[in-house]
Order: sequence, then structure tokens, then C-alpha cells
Amino acid sequence: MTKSYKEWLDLDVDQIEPIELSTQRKMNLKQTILKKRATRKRMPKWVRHIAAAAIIGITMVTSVSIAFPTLALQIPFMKNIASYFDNKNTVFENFDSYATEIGQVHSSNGLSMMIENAVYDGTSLTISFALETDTDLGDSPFIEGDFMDFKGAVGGGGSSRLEKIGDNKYIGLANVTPHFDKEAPDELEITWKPKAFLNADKDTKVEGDWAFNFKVSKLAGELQLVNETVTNYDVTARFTALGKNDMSTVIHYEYEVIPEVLEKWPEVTVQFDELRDNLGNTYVVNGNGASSRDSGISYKSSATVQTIDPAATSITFVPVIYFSLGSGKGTELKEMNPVTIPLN
Amino acid sequence: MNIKGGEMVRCTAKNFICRLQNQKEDALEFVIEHYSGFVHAIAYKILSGINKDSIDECVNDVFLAIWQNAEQFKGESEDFKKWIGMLTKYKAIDLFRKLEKQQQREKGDEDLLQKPDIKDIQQEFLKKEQRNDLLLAISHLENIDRDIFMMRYYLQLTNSEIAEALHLSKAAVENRLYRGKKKLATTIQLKEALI
Repeated sequence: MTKSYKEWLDLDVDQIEPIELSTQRKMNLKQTILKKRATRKRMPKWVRHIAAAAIIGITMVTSVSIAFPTLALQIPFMKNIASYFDNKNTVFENFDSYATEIGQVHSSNGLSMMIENAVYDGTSLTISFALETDTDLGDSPFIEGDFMDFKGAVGGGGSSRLEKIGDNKYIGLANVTPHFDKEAPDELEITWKPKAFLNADKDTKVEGDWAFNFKVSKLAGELQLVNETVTNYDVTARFTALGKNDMSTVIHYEYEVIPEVLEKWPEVTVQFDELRDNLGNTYVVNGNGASSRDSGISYKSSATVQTIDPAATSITFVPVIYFSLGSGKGTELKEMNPVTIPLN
Repeated sequence: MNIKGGEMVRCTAKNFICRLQNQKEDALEFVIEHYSGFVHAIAYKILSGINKDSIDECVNDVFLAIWQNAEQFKGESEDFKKWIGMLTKYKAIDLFRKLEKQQQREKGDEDLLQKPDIKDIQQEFLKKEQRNDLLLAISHLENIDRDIFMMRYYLQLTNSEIAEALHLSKAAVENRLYRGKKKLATTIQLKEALI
């Protein structure tokens, strides 16, 4: 061993002036890192929102009495799925404590799919699931086929992630918000029939016939009506209600755009990523998507966070307007004035 | 009816850590954009005498470790630069030493006569992943302890070598190692490495 590396031991990195990398090199760096989705054995930290917008068709589920004979014959092969993910400060953190156990397993074509737990907070359904298969589906497989169907819903949106945790095991978490014409029901009835699981890296897939049907009751909670409005850049956002329950707090809001704005920006979205309470706690916001009945002039939307600290007396966040030319064609972001909502 | 999904890109100096810990790609982009020059400069400083590939390897390794272990970072945006700087420094030194030894081996036969070094065997045992865990766990300690632990367990120097590098007495190094170990051993995966 030579001595020379020791010269660097007392190097003060604070004194070093940056040497910029080329744009090309930065891009390569990002690609290299994203490609190495190596799964760590103990705690997979890869989080990937596979379906940013899982669109649930307008199909109504008419028959729910179809029997699924192979269902529930097998013993669930995974427990506490949510605990495998790093869910700090997110709505998933207390998921397991409030979830209804579903425990359904269905096998087809050598792939067993299991639905472990689900929670319906009155707005969104949060669900944990797992796969066991001999086929290598890569690190983050895609699910083909319709996402979940909700009885009575006219549409919906949500996000999910599915990740490898072992040689033949995958675990997933999904958060889906159905939209109803009328008031959301007290009990959700869900049908989920994935068509195939796809390994995006190798273009291989396992097709099969899985079908789940289950009901989840709404968590007990209360609704606090609020009325906070903010208008910036010809967009008005109105925060109307807070849905509070043991697992989550849902911020209900609407926003409206002056029609002229739509001529330049056909899609306008108002969202926020983070909120704070007056005690300094930070919460990661899970956007639930938005729906419009008038071609994008007004939208109804909601966002979910982990239950706000009961000692807090207000929450504050900065709504952001995303002016979009349409998917992938360009966006412009504008921050609105901060909104503070007092808590009862 | 228009339905929109939840994901939108927005990353700022205020929220990038949170977004990085949630594995948002735009946060990775942000971190690369803002810190790659710094990481590159440290890697360049230490490794430019070896070769260009090693600099690239070091930069890649650092960002990969940060992406995979972002949740281990505790602190505000201002501390992030210190954290990434320290990780880069010790990774680069480690790589420097590894490659320097390799170059020596390639020089001539005389090295074949070398006896196996107990340190080398230890190194082999600590696989890269575990070494990353170690590196990250040590990064939570306070300044001086952090350097001592980096040198002792990540670079596997002897106590006298550390004392020399940090201009401390050997006893002071031993003392700090003893106290720091108690703190670190609370992390389960490190217990084995520290015995």
C-alpha cells in the first residue's frame, strides 16, 4: 500500500469549485442511474408511479354475483406489504393500521396475484397487492388491462407502483380515486381483472385470467366545510371541504379558468405537492386527479395527505397552476398565493 | 368528461429532497443539474492522476448511491451539499486506492511475492452494497467522528494512520471510535461490520 492516497484525507471539499459536466454527460448519468433499478434485498426503495393516469372506463359493473371459484382457496403469501415501501409522511404511512383485510389470491398461468389490504377514506381507495410468479417480470412490471372498476363510478384516476422484492415476488400499492355522478357511496364495490403483467425491459409478458371482486366500507370520519378562494393568472381555486378520518385528510377543491386562457393553454391543472401545518410538520400530497364536465373550464379535484396532526390548528400550501399545451407538448408553471385553511 | 392523472413535474430547491426520497425522476434531474459539477470537481481533484474513466465511475457511483439511499439523508437542503461532498470524497479516495493497487499489480512480478493482506480479505468480504450502507450510516455522525469512522471502517486504515492524518493522538482516535461505535451499533446492519 502506498501512502499517496492519504494526501486526500484532509481535503476540504467545501473549498472546491464546481467543474460543470456537459449536458450530454448529465443526461447519460441520469439514464445510467435509472437503468440500474437493482433491487436491494431488505427494503426496496424503488418507487415508480407506473400509471400516472389509470383511466377507469365508464363501464358499469352490472353483475357482481359472478363467482370466482379459485378465489380464496389459497393462503395469502405476503403480509404487511405497505411496510416494504418507504411511506414516511405519506398517506400510506398508517395504511396497515386502518386497512380492511381482503386476503384474496387468484392464480392463472403460473402467476398468483394477491390482494392484501384496502382502505376507502371516502374519496380514494388505497390498496396493497402482491404477485408470485416464476417468470421474470423485471424490476417494475406494468399491468395491462383495465385498472379497477368501481360500481357506479363514471370515471376515475390514480397511480400505482409495483416492484420486485425477491426472485419471484412483487409487491404493489395503488391509490385510485373514482368519480361519481352523485355523492360517493359509503361502500365501494371493486372489480379488478388484470389481463397481463408486462416486463417492459424484455418485452415479455404473462397473460392470464385473474379476477377480484370485493367491497370496502368507508372509514368513519367527518367533513369540515371550508371556503378559501385564491385567484391568480385568471385561474380561481376554491377550497371547499376537508374530509378527515384516521388514515388521511382529503382536501376537496374546485378550480375555474377564464375561457380565453384555454385558447392558449387547453389544459389547466391546479395541484400542490406538499403542505405544512402550523406546527411545522410536512405532508406529502397525493393528487387524486381532476374531472371536468365543461371541456376544461371548471374542474373538481381533491388531494390526499396523511391525517393532519390533531394538535395543528391550520394547514398552509402553495397551489401551483400547470398551464399545458396538451400532454407532452409543453407546460408552464405558476405558483398561486399561499392558502391557509384553519382546522376545527 | 376529462380525467386527469395526478403526476406533474415540479422540483425546486425547497422540495427536491422530499421528492428525491419519493423517487421522483425530476428530483434526480434536479440533483444532477445542481450538484454534478461539485461532485465532478471532487472526483476530478482526487482521481485525475489515475484516469478519466475512474472519475466517471466515481460520479456515477455517488449519484446512484444518493438515488438509492436518499431516504437516509436527514437534514435541510443546505446540508445536502455537505452530505454529497463527503460521500464523494470518501468514495473517490476508496477508488483511488483500489485503482492504485491495481496499477501496481500490473507493473511487475515482484508484487506476486506479496503476502495476502488481511485488509484485502476484509475488503472482499464487505461487498459493495454493504460498503454503501456503511458509508451512508457513517455519514450521519458528527464531523470529526465521521472522518475517523470513514477512515477506520470505510477505508480501513489503522488507528495510527488515522491519528497521523487528522493530527490527533492515537488515544484520542481510539476514544472517539469507542464512543462513536456505541452510537452506530444501533443500526442493525452495521453491528457485524463493527465487531
